Amino acid sequence: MTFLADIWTLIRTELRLEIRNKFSLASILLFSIVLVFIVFKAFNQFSPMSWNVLYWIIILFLSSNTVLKTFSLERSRTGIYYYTLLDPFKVIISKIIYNFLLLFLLGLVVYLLFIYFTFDAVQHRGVFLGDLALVSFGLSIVFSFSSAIANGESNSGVLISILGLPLVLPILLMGIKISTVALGITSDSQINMDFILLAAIDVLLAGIVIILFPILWKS
Amino acid sequence: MNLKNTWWKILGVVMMIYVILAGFLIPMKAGIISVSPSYIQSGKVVSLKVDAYNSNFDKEPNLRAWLKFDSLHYLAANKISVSDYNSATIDFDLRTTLPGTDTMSSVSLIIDSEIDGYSLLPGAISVENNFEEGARAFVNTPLSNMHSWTGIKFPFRNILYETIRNTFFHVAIWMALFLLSTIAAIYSALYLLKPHVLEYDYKAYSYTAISLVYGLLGLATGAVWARFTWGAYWTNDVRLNMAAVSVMIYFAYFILRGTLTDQDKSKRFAASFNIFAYLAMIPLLLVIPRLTDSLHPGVGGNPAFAGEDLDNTLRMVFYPAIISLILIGAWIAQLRTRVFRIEEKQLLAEAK
Repeated sequence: MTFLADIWTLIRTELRLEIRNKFSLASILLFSIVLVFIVFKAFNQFSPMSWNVLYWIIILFLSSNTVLKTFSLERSRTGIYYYTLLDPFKVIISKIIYNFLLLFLLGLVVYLLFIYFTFDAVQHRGVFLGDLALVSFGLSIVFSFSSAIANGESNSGVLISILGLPLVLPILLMGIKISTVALGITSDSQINMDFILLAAIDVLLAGIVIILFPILWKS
Repeated sequence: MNLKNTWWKILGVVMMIYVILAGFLIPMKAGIISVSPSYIQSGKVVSLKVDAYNSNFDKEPNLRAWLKFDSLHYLAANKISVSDYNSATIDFDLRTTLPGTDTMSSVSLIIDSEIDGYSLLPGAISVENNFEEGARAFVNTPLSNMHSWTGIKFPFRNILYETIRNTFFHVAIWMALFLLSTIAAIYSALYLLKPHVLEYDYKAYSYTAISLVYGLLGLATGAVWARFTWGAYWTNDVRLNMAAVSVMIYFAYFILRGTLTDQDKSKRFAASFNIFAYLAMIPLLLVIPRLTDSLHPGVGGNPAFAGEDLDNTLRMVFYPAIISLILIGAWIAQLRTRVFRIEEKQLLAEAK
């Protein structure tokens, strides 16, 4: 039970830091509002197809920007202290879960903003939310991993995008495929298979990241 | 020259030369390209104009042809008039009832020749059944005394035609790539286990580099093939997209190596990313495309080269192609590793 308790403590710490640093959450929110607004002004007429594309593109950019600072704290001397104190397994699991929650919430916020500015294109809400959860879990894994690699480099933002984007592609392609069904653009009888595939990709990536992370953590 | 260490390089090059020569010079078997008209009605004598490939109609005295309705019903040709070596006009007497009760039936054309062996065009024409009162009953003229070509020629496949030769390059390159990238991932894992052995890192880098080159070559040869058979260089197909994703992930490996400033850290991170990329590539290329719909052979319920498609003549060139590509890839990787060693020596010399 201590394992779960430790992870919970780590997630709570992350959350507390996030809340204490008021600018970071506010800046992400502002960023998403501005993005949605620009998209709304640029596309006066929304079709479900463009709704779908723009939603996921915004999620992609938001996630790469949000997860960017995952390991920013560990860069300083606190990092060395952390290193002596914590088990890397717990660190990466808690970071992934925290980022997942953050991204899922952001996805919901962007969805609400889309409804506010445009219209609610989603026809099967359950499918859409399940898709969003799986995609944000995948994004959280990939970007946590690439931000762990890029941490401490001068151009870490660029590096995260370069490392993360190709890995994110299969997740995002699968997610968009499922979401076209959720939006009623296409009807697909294989939707369960797609869900299983997406979950399988997520689990596989999570497994590899959790195995490889302790090696990165040592540096 | 020490033959003990170089024999596999010589073998690789000799096999590659053999693959290129045999792959491009061995001719195709005879086959039927098209039949016109493709739609006929029964109840009269029809004459079909046949375009063939690599045939010797003009030299063949005993040319025979059949329409195949199903595996039990065949109709022999009335008259065959040859216009040149690759085209002929074949008359069939269809003033009969047709086997079966369907109004439309898809009929295959079979041509048998002593020189070229028999060839078949499946679903060559659609025949509409004009049921007429008092029509002659269908007379079955079964196939007899068929000739088949026994020498060394590549099989003729409709749609593929001459591009069947791309098997030796496109398919073989991807197969070689899987082995080389596996070697690269193993060296990366070894480097992570023993970070003081720089040799492992050099080898991992070299094998990954040659894998990336093979990946690009595989995409290029695939694009040529897709253009010929599907009509476009790139289609929105699962396997193609996943292949592109894998190649991009491998590109990211090299960018990662180039970007990180700390040499030691860069090597360790690159090694872990390489394992990540390898483990991500296998399901992307081999598992997901099998589970979804795809045009690509071997996935999505399409047959790959199996059974009749990969016949012994193709195998004779295909297996050496895989082996030679692996050997040449390993040779290139070895050369790249040597460059690393020389660089290391130079650095040490400068340090002194």
